[in-house]
Amino acid sequence: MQQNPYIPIESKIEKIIEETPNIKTFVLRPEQPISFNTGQFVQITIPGVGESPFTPSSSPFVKETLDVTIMKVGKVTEKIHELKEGKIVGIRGPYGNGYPVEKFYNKEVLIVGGGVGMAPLRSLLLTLIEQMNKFKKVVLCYGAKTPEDIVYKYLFPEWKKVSGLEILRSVDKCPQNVCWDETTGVVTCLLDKCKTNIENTVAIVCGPPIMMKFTTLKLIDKGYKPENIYLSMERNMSCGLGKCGHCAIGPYFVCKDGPVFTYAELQDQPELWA
Amino acid sequence: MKIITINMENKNIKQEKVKMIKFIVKEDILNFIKTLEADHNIYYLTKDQNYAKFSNSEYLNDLNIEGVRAITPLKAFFFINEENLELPQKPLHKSNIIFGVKNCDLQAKKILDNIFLGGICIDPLYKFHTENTLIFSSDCPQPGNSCWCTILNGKPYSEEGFDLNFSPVQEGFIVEVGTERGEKIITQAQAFFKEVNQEQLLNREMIRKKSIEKLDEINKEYISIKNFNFQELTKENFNSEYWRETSKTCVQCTGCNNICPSCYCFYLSDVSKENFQKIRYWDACHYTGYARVAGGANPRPKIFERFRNRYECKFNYRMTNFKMYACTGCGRCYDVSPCRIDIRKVLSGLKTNATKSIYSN
Repeated sequence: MQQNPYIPIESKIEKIIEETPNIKTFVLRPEQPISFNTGQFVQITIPGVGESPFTPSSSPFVKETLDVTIMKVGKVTEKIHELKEGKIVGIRGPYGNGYPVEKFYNKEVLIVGGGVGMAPLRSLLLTLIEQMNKFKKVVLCYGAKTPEDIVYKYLFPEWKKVSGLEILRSVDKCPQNVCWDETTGVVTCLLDKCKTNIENTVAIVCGPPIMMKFTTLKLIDKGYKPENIYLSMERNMSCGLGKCGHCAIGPYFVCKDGPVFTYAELQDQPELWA
Repeated sequence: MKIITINMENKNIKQEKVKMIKFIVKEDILNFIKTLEADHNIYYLTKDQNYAKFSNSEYLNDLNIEGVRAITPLKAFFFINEENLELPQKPLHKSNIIFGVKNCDLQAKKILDNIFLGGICIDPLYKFHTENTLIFSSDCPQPGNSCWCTILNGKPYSEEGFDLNFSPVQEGFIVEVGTERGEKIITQAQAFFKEVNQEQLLNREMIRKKSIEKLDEINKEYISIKNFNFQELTKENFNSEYWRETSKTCVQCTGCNNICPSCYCFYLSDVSKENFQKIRYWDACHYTGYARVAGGANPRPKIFERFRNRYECKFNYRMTNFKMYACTGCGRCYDVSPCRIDIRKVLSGLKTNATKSIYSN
């Protein structure tokens, strides 16, 4: 950890990829490489504007650069979206605990993502793809609002070629003039279509709070054990160090005890779902 | 076996040594403080419950370390509002002495120590300030009407956590040494300090006992919650309708958060367009946007939920984390509340309205 944990590492925006009308992926090159575990998060600072938490969407095996996929949704993200290639932002971190990938060995891995919640899951998926033979199979269920809102459109053709990886996608609705031959409906409806051996499957969920809630409840209904459901919790964060208090869920601080929790750890907390 | 015995004996000797105890007459306090001024910034408790900065040109005629705790919480010296989070490049010319710290504030500092010095990393600014500060605590023989430390199993005097502790007795103060730093100060100014006698020690005991009796008298209405299991109370009654009722008068001014000696929440601000320097401000869980995330989802959108959170944080969650309440009964939150919300009343009301029958008698 840096000597002063509040001072970020300067990082250059090397490339910007337009994913959807309101989501962009930024390829960042920090002055010193930042190595992270998949599922950990970083704080990105825009001087004079503010700081927000993001989980890198790139593979942790790539050391020199780091990708973050950002939806334009608030004060900081609006400013980030205005930035051009070559500009400098600050990165603090990585913080928290990522996905315990070793615990998924010899199991089926069900990944459920919603919207820009696919960002941390892309990093996880890239980590799993590096070592596919260690898992029984990997199933990705991904939902977006419309076909246009799907992130990483250019990566799906490649992923479809990976042996042992099944991909199911849904959109909430599809405009009439757009072609969509996959599922229409909220992402939870994909859970009825995918075939997993529930006893030997871990489920990893990331998306907007409402989607996380209903996906988790549906997984429980289907017979998943709370300890086999991994949630990437989203909370308001400022320090990332377990001190400032904002991200608390009961006695937990999401930034240091999470952001990845099992549902078993959190299910008794009354303010779990925002 | 023998070696262990020797080690234990050494440890005992060391502990004895740290518990050095002296006496200083009242008239010598000013001269004693003057000797410290060259190397220290001295902030002392005044008659109007402030910490005033001592300067040699003025007499300490407003000094009153025998009074009730300062209005400003002790945290303000270590966890500074609107602080630039840049590490000081060189050591301070003078270290600080806070003179007249009460036990409620010293106990609250333990929560801040756990947060800022524990966990995954040390907060460098908090560490810097605490290392550069000497704490001269003092007993609290005149508790105020909002004080309720004894209901929470606290004491109106300190037994640890200080560098020096001053206990008012007849004609002077018993001075107890808590650390090597404190001992050094006494040794350097030994001309002012006399040996303490048995009579003075008995006098201290009596004054301390009287203070506890005063607190019990002030809080006789709340005797039913004395030394209660507040963690169980707040945890078991999280869903009680009582929270909606009791929070109706709260205007969310956040005064209780700011004045509380154990509230530690903050946010970081990036004010400079030129660099990555951060400014830290105190924050408050009563603010609507405190826990709101991008996109608008909020785990505590309603006033009663944020009101309840303050109690759950102090009596339930922090007890789980640190085995202590994040409330030490200083009563500042009641004093500052424009709605006259009394933390004692809220808790005893929660007990009366508890959903679980075990509290009904």
